[in-house]
Order: sequence, then structure tokens, then C-alpha cells
Amino acid sequence: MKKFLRFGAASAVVAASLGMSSVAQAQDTATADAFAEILTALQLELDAGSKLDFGSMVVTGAGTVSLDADTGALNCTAAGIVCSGTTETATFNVTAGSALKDVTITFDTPAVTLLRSGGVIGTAADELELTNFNSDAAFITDPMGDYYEVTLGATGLATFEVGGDLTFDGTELAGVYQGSFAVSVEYS
Amino acid sequence: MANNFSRFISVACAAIAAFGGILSAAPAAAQGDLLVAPTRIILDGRRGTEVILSNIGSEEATYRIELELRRMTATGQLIDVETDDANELEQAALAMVRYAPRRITLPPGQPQSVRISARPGAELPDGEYRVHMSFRAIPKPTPVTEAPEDSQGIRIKLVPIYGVTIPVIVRHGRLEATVAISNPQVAEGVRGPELRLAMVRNGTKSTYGELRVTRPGSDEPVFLARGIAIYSEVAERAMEFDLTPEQAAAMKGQLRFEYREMPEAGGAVIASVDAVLG
Repeated sequence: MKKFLRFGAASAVVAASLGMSSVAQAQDTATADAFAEILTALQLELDAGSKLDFGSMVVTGAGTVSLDADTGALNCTAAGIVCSGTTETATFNVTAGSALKDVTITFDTPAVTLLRSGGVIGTAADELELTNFNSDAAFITDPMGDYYEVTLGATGLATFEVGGDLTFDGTELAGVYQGSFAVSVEYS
Repeated sequence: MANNFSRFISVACAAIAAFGGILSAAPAAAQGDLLVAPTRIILDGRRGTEVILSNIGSEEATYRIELELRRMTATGQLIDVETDDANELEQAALAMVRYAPRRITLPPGQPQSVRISARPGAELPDGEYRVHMSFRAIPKPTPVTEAPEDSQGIRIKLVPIYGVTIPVIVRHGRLEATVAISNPQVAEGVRGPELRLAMVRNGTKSTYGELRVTRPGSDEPVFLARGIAIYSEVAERAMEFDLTPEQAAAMKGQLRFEYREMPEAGGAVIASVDAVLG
């Protein structure tokens, strides 16, 4: 469980347990005039070295390539697309002071357009779509729109994976396509 | 007061810097990782407070801090609300919350505080006003990529932009709320056994607390869920909690369901119900 400290008096002594692996507790050995306020902290990290990686593709026709965050499996069955190389879903670590709490995960945009490096915006052969962001987090159905949520574990930590779909129209030129996607953790 | 405050901040920063230093000694984290504390902010309109933002990544990062609107649905989802669609309460909330700075560049391990305060107007009706403060790293422009080794192929380079939001709640005037727990049951869900129940909220205030399920004569909960918020726009929240097989097995017979304030807020019982589950 991650706790965060701020101390009100100069005589407060911070014990070295701060921020260490599991339980960060305040061992406040200060005298009576000190006050310590424990703040719960919320952390979001992209797991070290992790990235959303579809490997490489040779495209001769239209189709979709999907990365399933639940299984990590790549679905590349479209006739006009040949996939190769290693693939990976993006791994995020969220940590907060409150164990056993549910937090909402949202993908801010339903679709992202990726542009070929050196390509021209608005040119079909230079663009492709990244859509259907999915996660291995619990999928909650809601009349107002389905969503994902993770429950912070007993130590206040939760990990979730993010995958998605690439949609090709078959005209894309070879090259590196770049873009960004947004992931938010909403604390209530 | 000002003196005390600045000393308070400087000591806080020193403590946090030490904290950040420990974290950044961990294996290289990505650009944009962040820590925000505290996780909920409650303002009464008289005094401001501050939120600490710390760069826990391995590279310098620039963060943008914004106020956004969310509405809670009956399942507890927080739905994004565009400013154009904001109702009167939400517009008032956006108008009264002040904060600075709005953009911060931090080296790894470095924290900075964001000052935040609320100035409710004198004629503002009593009520609870809420915005959500978002902290998000702005990605660095990526350098022009070299040609892929396989010139026939397509490669994808994706930059995640990730961040967190925390609620900022402004309580204006005398507010109260009551909650009732209804219809607790254990059922089989898609992912296994689930505890399902509803909480019905009445009044002008949101509630925040933990759900404890105990057996008679025992203080040790057979099930515990923390940090359950029921915001003031929600009259009834339907809840589903995944259970381990052990928890599901223990949730039979006479049980007490309690929704309590968080222990750090005093732990008072907000709602409770006794039920017998099959």
C-alpha cells in the first residue's frame, strides 16, 4: 500500500521505510510538536520497457489485425495481411493508498489515426486506424456505455494490459506509422 | 501562517524528493509516469490546499493539469462530460475552482505542488460541487524514425499518453446524506461468484467509505471493499464485487453488511443491514 507523507515540523524524522517495496509506513519518531499528515498517493506507470506493439505487417489487401489484451494473442487472419515479429500489449501499473478499491479505466478516444512517417495527413495510403482499445481488466456492462475497471489488490496495486485493433484499407504504403493513444485511470 | 506553510511545503518536498529518489532507482520507467497525492480533495470554500505531483519516471516530463467533468453512473462508472453539456452545478463547479500551475515540467524524482482553492459565490445555493482534476504527461515529439529494416513492411509506433484524474469536491453550506443498503446477494457472474447489492443514497452530499461484510460475533470481515464513492448525482448505485471461492463460501447464513466512512475519516457507520444469504 502506497502512502505519502508530509511533515509539519522541522523536527520530524522520516524513517527509511518510505516508498519501499510493499508497505510504506510512517515511523514518525518526532517529538510531540510535530504533526505528520499521511496522504494517500495515486501512481500510474507504464511497465518498464512495455509498449503496445503489433510487430510488422505486409499488407496487400484490406483487413484488421487485433491484439487481445486478455490473452496477448495477435489475430492476423485477414487474407491480405501477413504479420511477423514479436507483439506485445502495453502493461500499466496503478498503485494507490486504498487497497480493495475499484478504479475506472478509460480510453479517451475511441479511434486514433496513425500517420506514416513522411506521409501526408488525409491521404488514405498514409493512414491507418487504431480502434477497439481493450483491456484484461474487468469489463463492466453499463447502460450508459460499457467500461473497464480494476480492483486494487491487498497491497494497493493493480496491473492492466491494453490492446487494440488496426484497420487497413489495403492501400497503405510500407513504412513506420505513428500515433498516440490515451489511457486514463479515474479515481473516485 | 504563511511561514508555517512554506516550511511545511519545503519539508514535504524534501521528504518527497527522497521518496522519488528511491523509486527512480528501480528499473527504468517510462517517460510520463506520475504520482499524485492526495487522491481525493474536499474543499469547504474557506481554505485552499495543494496536490503533489511527482515525476516517478526515468526522464524529464511535462505534465498538463486540467479540470474536467465526470458523472457517475448507476454502476459507478465515471463518464466524461464535455463542457458544452455541463449542467448548472457542473458549470458552477468549474467556475469556482482555481488552481495553479497548469503545466509543470519535472526532472525524474522531482515533486511539485499544485495549489488549489474554491471561491463559491455568496449567492451560490448550498450543495456539493465537483470537478475532476486530470494530470497527464504531454508526450515529447518523437524523432523522425529511420526506415524499417524490411522496406516492404508496415511497422507501428505508438506513444501512450496516460494520466489520472482525482475528484475535487467543494462542499458549500450544510449538507447531509443517508444511505441504505438493499438486496445483498451472491450470484454467479461472468468471472465467477459475485457479491451484488445496491446502495440507495438520499440527500445533498456524496458519501465515501468501505463496505464490510461480517459474520455475527466476529469483527474480521469476510469481505471488504474500500473507497466506494456514491456521488451526489447518483441516487442508487448497483454494485458487483468479484469474490474468491473462499469468500463466496463464507458468505452464507446470517451476515451483516456495513457501509462505513473510511477508517481515516472516523469509520462511522453510514448504512447497515442484516441479511441471511442462502
